Amino acid sequence: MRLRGRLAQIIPTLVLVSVLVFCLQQLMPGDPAVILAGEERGDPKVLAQIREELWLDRSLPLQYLHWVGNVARGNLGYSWRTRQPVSQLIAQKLPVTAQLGVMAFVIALLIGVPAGVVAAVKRNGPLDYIANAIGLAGLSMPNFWFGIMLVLLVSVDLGWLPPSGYVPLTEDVRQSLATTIMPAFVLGNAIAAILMRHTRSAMLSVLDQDYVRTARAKGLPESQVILRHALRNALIPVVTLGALELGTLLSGAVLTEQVFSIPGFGKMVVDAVFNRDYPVVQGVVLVTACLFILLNLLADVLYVLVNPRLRRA
Amino acid sequence: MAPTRRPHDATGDAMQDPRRDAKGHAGGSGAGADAKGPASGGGAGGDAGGDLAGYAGGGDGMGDAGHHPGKGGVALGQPAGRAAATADPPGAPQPRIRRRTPDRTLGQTPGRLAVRRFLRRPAAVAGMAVIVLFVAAALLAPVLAPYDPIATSWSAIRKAPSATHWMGTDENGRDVLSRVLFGARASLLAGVVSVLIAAGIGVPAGLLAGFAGGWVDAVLSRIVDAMLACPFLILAIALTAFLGPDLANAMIAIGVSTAPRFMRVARAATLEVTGADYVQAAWSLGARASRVAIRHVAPNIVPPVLVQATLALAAAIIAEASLSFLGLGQQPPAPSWGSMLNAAQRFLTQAPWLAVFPGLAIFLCVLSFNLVGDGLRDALDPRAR
Repeated sequence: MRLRGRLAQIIPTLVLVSVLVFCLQQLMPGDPAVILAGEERGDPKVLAQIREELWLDRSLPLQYLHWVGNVARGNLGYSWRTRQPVSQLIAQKLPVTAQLGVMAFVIALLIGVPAGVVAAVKRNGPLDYIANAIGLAGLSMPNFWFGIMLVLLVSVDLGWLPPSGYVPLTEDVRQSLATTIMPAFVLGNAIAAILMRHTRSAMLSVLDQDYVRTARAKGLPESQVILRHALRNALIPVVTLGALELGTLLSGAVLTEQVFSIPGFGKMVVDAVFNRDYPVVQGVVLVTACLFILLNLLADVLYVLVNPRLRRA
Repeated sequence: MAPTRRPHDATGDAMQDPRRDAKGHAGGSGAGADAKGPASGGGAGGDAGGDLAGYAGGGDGMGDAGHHPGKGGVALGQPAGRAAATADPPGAPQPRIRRRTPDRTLGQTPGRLAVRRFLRRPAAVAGMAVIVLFVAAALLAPVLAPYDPIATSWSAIRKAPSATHWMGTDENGRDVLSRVLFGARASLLAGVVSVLIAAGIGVPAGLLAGFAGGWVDAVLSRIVDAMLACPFLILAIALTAFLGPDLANAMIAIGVSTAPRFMRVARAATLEVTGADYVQAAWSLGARASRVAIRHVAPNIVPPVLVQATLALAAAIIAEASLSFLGLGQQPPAPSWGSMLNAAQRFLTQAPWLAVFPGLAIFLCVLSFNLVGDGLRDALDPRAR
């Protein structure tokens, strides 16, 4: 089966991702032991002790095996700044970004799919051109700038929403939504543009199918033909392709969280970069890559599951 | 013998790059949906399949025109692929038959035809014009800029746009217009250099993978998978973090993070081209592999690579602005659109104009590259719409 093949493909990819992330460490300027030793960097005993602890005195392949063995057991190392386990830091921040991401994805679906349907149905008409133009603009707009402009309008001029900050969902749902709706909209906007394009092309191909013609011939109202017959089939590739936009979402989250001062995953990476907290940077890259690979797999599985035609193949 | 390949390899390509896919298939040949399924394995070459057919064949879909005289009339202006790929809905009026004598296309090089198709798209031409303006602004910045972009002036701090300062002044009394003009240098330079780095790594790797096949391809493709699994910006941020924040490192980071996309495109195009008759002919004449690769395959993967390069330029400019916005790109006081926006955020209530103009510049520049990229794709690849 194809799925088994996919699973077999994932393992070398995961291994390579880990090698890649490990190699990042080698790009680092200076000796990690010296940086870690801080004040005591003059003491060769301390340096030797750190090197031994971190296996820095071993050969590179051994260092890699040591590191990857730890990673496999869930130990992503310790933050150089706070000495907390990196996995714990990530676990703390991930829910914030997840909330933002889910909201953004819902917003993107709510905008992108209807826009794509309209564009496809009114193909080459004015609405199609408008949808395409807005879509292209959405893809070309740097989302941090869009965020700043939105803050300028909604928070500074109109005073409707707080310009920055974050309240967790568990504390106060209303406040939490108020602080995240604007960033989620900013984040969702680029994905909406991509979903619109996917939806439009999927709808166009579906609208030519025989079963759509049959539905029309039966005398079904056009809205039924489009929503029940065409859209249901067109959505299958759209949702699975949309799921692959996780990378866009995470990249966007870094910037959006910066603009709106949301203490999520993305803000953690940027802070870690400025603090030269390399283990955190490494951990974040590794976790996002694994998330992406798993979601990719999930999208493939889903695709086969919701598409009975492929189950036989 | 020319290498052969399992078809599903190639479909993997179409599937893994959804953004390109969406553009490539917009217009609905249905490949967007099919490409994911194993059933579509026959369509080797994935997204580049259509890319080359129109170009390398030299024929602008004119083959279709021959079969469907009714659609032949639209063949030039409206790429024939569109008509061929999506059948007209039943009852749709047949396009009016316009007699266009074939000598308009006969004897024309594919390149010239592509230029002509490109020029027929007003949006793409407008994008090109804006890019020319930006390039001129960057090159002539010292002449055009009314003030020194890094000269501070205590008497002109955060002044609103006026006749003396068209875009106002910033928190250090520097002229925003001058900084935006000089900022074009950082952005365009970062865009061009990082795309060159990306293409320099990705295209030879893709050519090698597609041409050599076997374990070379398997290894290179897995490396690319691994790199693509890391979100683009996060990978670029991590690379700049480890390399150290400055413009040159940002360019390297963006280039390296973009390279896998070029590899994908070049590989898919190579697979497509290696099956073509003229490549088979070269093999049968006893040409050496290196000669076939360099003389026959490489020139014919240029069109899809060119399209990818234009779109990658747009992405690289956003990426540079993003890194500079985060403080990881161009370092102050040198002007860059991204870092100007970073500074502007602190004065949003007092000096909103600081945030407007640099962002507008990024948006216009990126939009233009995207328009040109879309136009180039349609011009070089009449089938994928």
